[in-house]
Amino acid sequence: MQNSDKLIIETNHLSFGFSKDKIVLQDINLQIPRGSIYGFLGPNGAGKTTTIRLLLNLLKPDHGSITVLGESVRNASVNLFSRIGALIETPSLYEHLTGFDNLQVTAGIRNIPKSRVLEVLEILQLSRDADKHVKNYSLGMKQRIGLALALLSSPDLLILDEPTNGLDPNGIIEIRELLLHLNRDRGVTILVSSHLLSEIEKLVTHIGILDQGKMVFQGSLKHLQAIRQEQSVIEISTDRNNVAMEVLLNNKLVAKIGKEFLEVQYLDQFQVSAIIGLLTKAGVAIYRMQLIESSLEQTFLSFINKN
Amino acid sequence: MNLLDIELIKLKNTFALWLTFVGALFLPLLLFTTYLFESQEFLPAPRINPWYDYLLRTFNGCCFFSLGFILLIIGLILNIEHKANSWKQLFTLPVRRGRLYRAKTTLIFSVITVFFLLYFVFAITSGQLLGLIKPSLGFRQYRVPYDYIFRFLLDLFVSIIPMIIIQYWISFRMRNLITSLGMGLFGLLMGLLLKNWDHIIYLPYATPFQMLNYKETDVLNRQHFYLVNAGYSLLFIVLSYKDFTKRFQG
Repeated sequence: MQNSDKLIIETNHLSFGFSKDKIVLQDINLQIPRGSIYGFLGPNGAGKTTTIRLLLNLLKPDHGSITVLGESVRNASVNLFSRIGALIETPSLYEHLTGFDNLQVTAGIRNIPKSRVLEVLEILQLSRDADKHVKNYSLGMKQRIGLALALLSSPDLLILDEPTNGLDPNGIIEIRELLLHLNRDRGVTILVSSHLLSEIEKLVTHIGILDQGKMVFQGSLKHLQAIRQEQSVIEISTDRNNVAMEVLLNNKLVAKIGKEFLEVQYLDQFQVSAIIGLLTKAGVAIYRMQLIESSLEQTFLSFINKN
Repeated sequence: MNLLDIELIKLKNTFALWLTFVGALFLPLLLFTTYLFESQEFLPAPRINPWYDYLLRTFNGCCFFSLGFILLIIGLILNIEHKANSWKQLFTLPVRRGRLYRAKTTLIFSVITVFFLLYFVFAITSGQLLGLIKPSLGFRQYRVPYDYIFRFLLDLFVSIIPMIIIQYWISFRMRNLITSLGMGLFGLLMGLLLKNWDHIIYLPYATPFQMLNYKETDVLNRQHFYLVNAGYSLLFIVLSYKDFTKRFQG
């Protein structure tokens, strides 16, 4: 359990259902450290958007509590939301207005000067298209305007629900660079949801995996990488697998006989030469040896499939 | 920035804004062309102010046609938010929901007020023009009875306030413009069908039809009429406000 002071978002035993028969979230205990980039992962329909709507007080939980920036969301003051920037699902844009007017609407409500609107347009490389009607924007430009809306108030916390939806690879890289910059240089804590780990694994410091309304993993990226390593194996084929197995077990290696090969749990690169040495010394002929690494994506999927 | 100013930004380039002008022009233009091409039918009797007859037609048209335009204008104003899927975005901004409700209500009443003002500006202008083009119609010989217009406008406005609030409530609840508009038109239709019912004053969508054939010396039980409408307005404002601020999820 993390120290509560260091958490920017914390939920305790959060549950929610749209009706008694349709439970969407069960016992969610989110812990998002200050200064982190928290990747909120899960397949479509896992409950990510519902959780985000609960964090933003758009829905009321059935059970449990939510604390954001040290304030209970249920009794939150209006000021709390001046410190949060959010992009929920597709950006909410007035298509009959220009990009500039769209930002001006939010800026007006937040009492933000026009100079900041122009600055945000510049950051998101939208200055040239600011006077075009949003209905003429590409999907990527709309997504960037949505991000611009979230960034207007220079928030302490950014909550982004699938922000790279509809973006091409270049767009995804640009957004990633921008978010990394905001986190690193301005100390913005970011919660970013996605259904694809590959999209955000280069961005996040922490990960929470949600499946069918339950948290199946929560921790740092390093923790997930350690789990991935645990799932990596060295496959070995020899002339005498039984003898080889005995040698490996006698040397306290975690090994088992798989469908075709011997499987040894991979620890580090030095292990490979050590195994070759042990088996050669025991007179076992090695025909094949291969490191089968589990990707983060497979690790992520293994959590979901397990659930 | 004032929330009403922000609402006005949203109104730019919308059909709601165009409809406010075009809808207000529709009936005065129709009356103008009818008077112009059928002027023999409308020649006033000697020493009779033609404005009263002309204005009565304007009022009746207002009772029949303007209500449909008003329902459509309210629906279109709320549809700006539904179409942009922006309620959720607005509710995550540092502004109380009550202020959003009040800003939207103020905008709706402002647009409707502008609609009626334009309607009568166009109607009076068209009468003056007719007086110039067809002097025999007598519009230039008599003064416009502004107090008559003012009294009608006051009564009509009071009579439609509950309907406006209900329609506002329906329109923010229903994402589909056709559904909200259909419900409003059904209300109007019921009002028209039950026009002669003894207790018609208690049916908010029917009250405007009580203004048909409005006479300057109308025998409307004014005190009761104002009380009923004030009561309804207060009730629907409280209920819709509570719904918007406590239950509505966007």
